[in-house]
This record gives sequence, structure tokens and C-alpha cells, in this order.
Amino acid sequence: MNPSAKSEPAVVLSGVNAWYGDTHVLRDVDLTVARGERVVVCGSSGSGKSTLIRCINGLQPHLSGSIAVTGIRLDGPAALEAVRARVGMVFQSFELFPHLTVLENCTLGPVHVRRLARAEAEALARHHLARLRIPEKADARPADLSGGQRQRVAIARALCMEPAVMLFDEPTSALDPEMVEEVLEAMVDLARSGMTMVCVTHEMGFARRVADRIVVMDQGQVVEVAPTDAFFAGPRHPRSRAVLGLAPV
Amino acid sequence: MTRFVRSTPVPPRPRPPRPGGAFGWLRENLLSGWGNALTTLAILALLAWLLPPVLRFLVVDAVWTGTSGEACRPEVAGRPVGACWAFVADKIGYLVYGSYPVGERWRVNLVFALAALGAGWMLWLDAPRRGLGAVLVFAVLPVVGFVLLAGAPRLGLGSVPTGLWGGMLVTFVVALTGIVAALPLGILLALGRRSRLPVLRYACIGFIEFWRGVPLITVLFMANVMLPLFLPGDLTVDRLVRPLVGIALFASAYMAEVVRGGLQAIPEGQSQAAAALGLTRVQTLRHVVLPQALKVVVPGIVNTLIGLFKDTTLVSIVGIADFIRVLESARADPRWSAPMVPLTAYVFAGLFYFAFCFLMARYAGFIERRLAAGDRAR
Repeated sequence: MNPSAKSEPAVVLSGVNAWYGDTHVLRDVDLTVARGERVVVCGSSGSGKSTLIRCINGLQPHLSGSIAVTGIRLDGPAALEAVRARVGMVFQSFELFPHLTVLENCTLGPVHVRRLARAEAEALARHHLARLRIPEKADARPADLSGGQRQRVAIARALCMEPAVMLFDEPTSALDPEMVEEVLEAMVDLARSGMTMVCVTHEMGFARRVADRIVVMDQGQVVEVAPTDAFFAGPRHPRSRAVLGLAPV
Repeated sequence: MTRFVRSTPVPPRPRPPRPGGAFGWLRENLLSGWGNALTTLAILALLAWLLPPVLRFLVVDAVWTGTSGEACRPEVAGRPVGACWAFVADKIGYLVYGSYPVGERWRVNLVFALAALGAGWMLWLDAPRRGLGAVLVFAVLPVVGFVLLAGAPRLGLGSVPTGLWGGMLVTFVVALTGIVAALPLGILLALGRRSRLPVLRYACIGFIEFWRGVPLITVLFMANVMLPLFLPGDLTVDRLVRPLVGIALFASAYMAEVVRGGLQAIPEGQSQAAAALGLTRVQTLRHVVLPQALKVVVPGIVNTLIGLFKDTTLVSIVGIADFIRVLESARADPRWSAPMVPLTAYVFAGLFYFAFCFLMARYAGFIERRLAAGDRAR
């Protein structure tokens, strides 16, 4: 890797537009995420926040504008796989592979994408499972885990790719209230370790603790981007006030 | 309103005993209520009415030894005669090998033994070296088997034209080729049908709908009667190979639809999670989608394979000497003309096909239970 690439921002979106069918779901989105930065994206459902982060690893194609991740421009199948290998993603519905054990879930990417030797991949997986405090579940099946444990395995699975950026798509929305905390704790630990993170979440307490910046979306547009402290001290856009549950001014 | 806060926990207690013994079981399962009791009695009566004559025919009155139809004639035997097993015993060589030269039949036996060994290796899921086994069974065995059966003069094995093959040998060759070809072809067709490339997708849809829309018997007549008329004179395809290809393609179209059902049962999120890890589309199919999809459709796959096994009997109509055709000509042998011989022949055929279909169904049941145990509580 050349030295200039190191200073490259983790994610750059400029003038991104996307359609879902005929619906214009992302409109002229510009966003730059620096390395090591934590960005929380919020907004009501249907505001385009999930679409935004799914564009970053190309799960949702964008039809105009440009997206670059760690300097790699998303502009073709080869770039797509290269970007996905460097971007971890955690889904609302976990999406663990039910036919594989927890350990196999975590080694699938490292073995087949990163071409690590199986023993090396397993050591890496056990390291991350221990970091997520579920080392004893390595040989269990996803079906035998609680929701919180599943989501922590999903985080470990993404970390095993040693990604430059982690994307979280409402990671706690499908969890029972008593399990939300264990997943948020894991995400806070991850943030403390310096990981670049883009999180879509409704957990404003988490956003306040962890985020460097807050992005608010509405109807496919970015309506406010603000440093966390400033945002919570005084949101400017009416949608931002709604997100925080404040009455319109 | 009063308020309740538990102070003494309720410990778990063992469940009350079930009504004990054989009598308790009988009462609970067979005689609970009038309707159930009447059904039980009716079925018992039916069995009492059906079983004795069947057993008398198959075992008690059956003739086990003899060298000609005389042995199976009631007036000669001097007693009522049931199944004429002596006929089956006398003709068994013909029923198994057809007109395959007697001196060369060890080659068929060797192929049977190798096939049984290979099938055992593949079907026993915890067997050692299954990867090596798969290569031997799916790549080496068909070639070795064909060389052994057809002969190779250079290796000192006299050539035996496929026209002489017959009986169970041909039934097994047709069925195994169909089974081994239909599953991979069906998977490829199902994947093609879901492809993003319109040309590939429509080609696969056209192929599947064509083969599903044509009766198998038409396919076989086309293969054996019409195809030679269209091919250039010097190009001939073996009489046995033509219906083989027809059956394999026919079964693969059905298999494709079964597999497609499985592919559609796997949520889109699974592919997306795999893609998000950086897996290519092929890797996603190979490691994430297909293992789950095929597991869902094991019953459908086995159903198709059982259907395929029984459909092989249709090749007898286009002049291939499969088990049914050989049986037909055996029972027409004037030396074995006796009243019970045709019935015995068909009962034997029924038992033969039933045994293999039942084995397939039981094995599928075992696989299903094992896969279900693999992901409890899903």
C-alpha cells in the first residue's frame, strides 16, 4: 500500500443517487467518513439510511455519483469484491449461515476470500469470538444461540475479514430489549479500538456515547450532518428534532 | 386490587405417569373412542381377509423347485399351486444378465460389486476419504464399468455389444446413469433459470418446459425410431445410449424444478450476507445457498429419483431388453407354460421395484432426520 493511501478517507460518497424500482431513494448524497471516525446515521424508516450504507459495499447499486472506499472506486465487479472484502457488515436480521457452526460462519470469508489457511482462519475466528465474549459457542449452531449472541457472532464474522470499515444496519432492532445492551457494549468496545464505523441505529444513547458525527436523513436526502455534541445540544433541521423526540420549533 | 409477589418458588415435578403397559398403549392409541375402535376393527378385519390368501399364494402353496412348467401345474403337483418360484429360480440368470454371454457374466458381477461398494461409500456419510470416493464413483467407476461391460479386446476382454445386455443389468445401467446425470444437470438448469442473463435464463426455461411438456414415451420413440432417420447414415449412436440420454434429460428437467423450489426457499439476506463478506457469486452458491437449498428439497429429490427408477421400465417398449422386457419373454417360454407363471413373474417384478424404491425412501428418511438433528430448533 502506498503512503498516500493511508491518509485517504475511509469512505467518500459524492453526488450519489440511487433508485429502488422507480423510487428515487438516494438524492445527491455527499458524505466523507475519515479513518477511525464513527458516524451514526438516523432518520425515520424509509428515509434512505439503510440504502445509504448498503451503497457503501455495493449491495445496493448507485446509478450516478461516485463511491470510494479506502481509495478503491466502486465501479465494477472486481472493485465490488475488493471493497466488500475490506468492509464488514452487520445486518438487522443477523443473517448467520444456519447450516454452519459459529466457527465455520467466521472462517468462511477468511478461507475463501482472504485465502488464509484453515488453521490460521480458525485461530483468528477464536480470537474474535473471545473478544466478543462468546468463545464457548464456537461449535454451536446459530439456532442454539440467543438473539444477542447471534448478533455478536455476526460482528465477529465481519471482524474476521479484518475490515477497514464496519457498517451496522440497525443491529439491535430485531433484539429483545434485554439483549440490546450486550450488543451495544460490543459495539462500544469496537469503537474504542479505533474501528471506522458507520451505524444506522435508533439507539440515540449509543450515538451520544460513541459517535463523532450524526447524519440525519429524510426522503433520500441528507438533511443534517453535525458533530455529536453540537447535534445533541441543538439540532437544526426539523427532522433532526423529530429524531430526538423534540417538538418542532 | 391486591398485589402478588412470589416468595416461595414452585420446583418442577415429574409428569404424571402415562397409562402403563401394552394394554394402556392399546387403549390410548387404538381404542380411544368409538370411531377409533371401529376403524381399528375394520382394518384388522381387512388384514384377516387379505393376508391369509396372500401368504398362501406366496409361501404355503408356492412351488420352490422344478425344471419346467410341469412342476407348477396343479394336476401334476396334485395340490393347489400358488407362486411358481421354480420359474424365477430357473430363469434368474436370464432375468439378471439378459443375453449377456454366460462365460463373461463374472464381469457383470464385478461391476455390480464395484457399484455396491461405491454406493456404500457415498451413502455412508461418515465414511473415510469421501472426497476420493466421489472421484472414484463419479469419474472412474463409470469408465471402468463401461469397459468391463462392453469389453476391450486390447485388454483381453471380448467385446459384448449392448444389444446382448439385458435384465436387471440394463435396468441398473439406465437408472444409475439417469440418477447420476439428473441431479447435477438439474442443479445447473435451476441455477440457469434464475440467472440474471436473459439468454441463459430463457434457454433454461425453454429446455425445462420442453422436456416437462413431452411424455417420456414420446421421447423414447423419438430417440430410438425417429432419431436414426435424421442422423447422417454413417453416424450411429448406440441403441442403449439413445434412450439413456433421453431419460437423463427428461429427469433433469423435473429435478431442475425441484431444486428451484429449494433455491427460492432461501432468503435473499443469506446471499447478501455472503456477498458482503466478499464471496463471489459462485462461492456464495457453493457454500451458502446450495447446501441449504438442497437440504430443503431432499424429499422432492428422492421423489424424482424414485419416479425415474420406475420410468426406466418404459425403455422396454422401444425394444431395450430391460428387466421388464426380459421378464415378459421369459414368461412366454412354452417350457414354462403354467397357469401361475405370469402372475408369479409380475409379483416378482413388483417385489424387485418395491425393494429398491423402498430402500431409497428409507435412506432419504434417514438423511432428513440427520439433517434435522444438525439444526435443531430452527
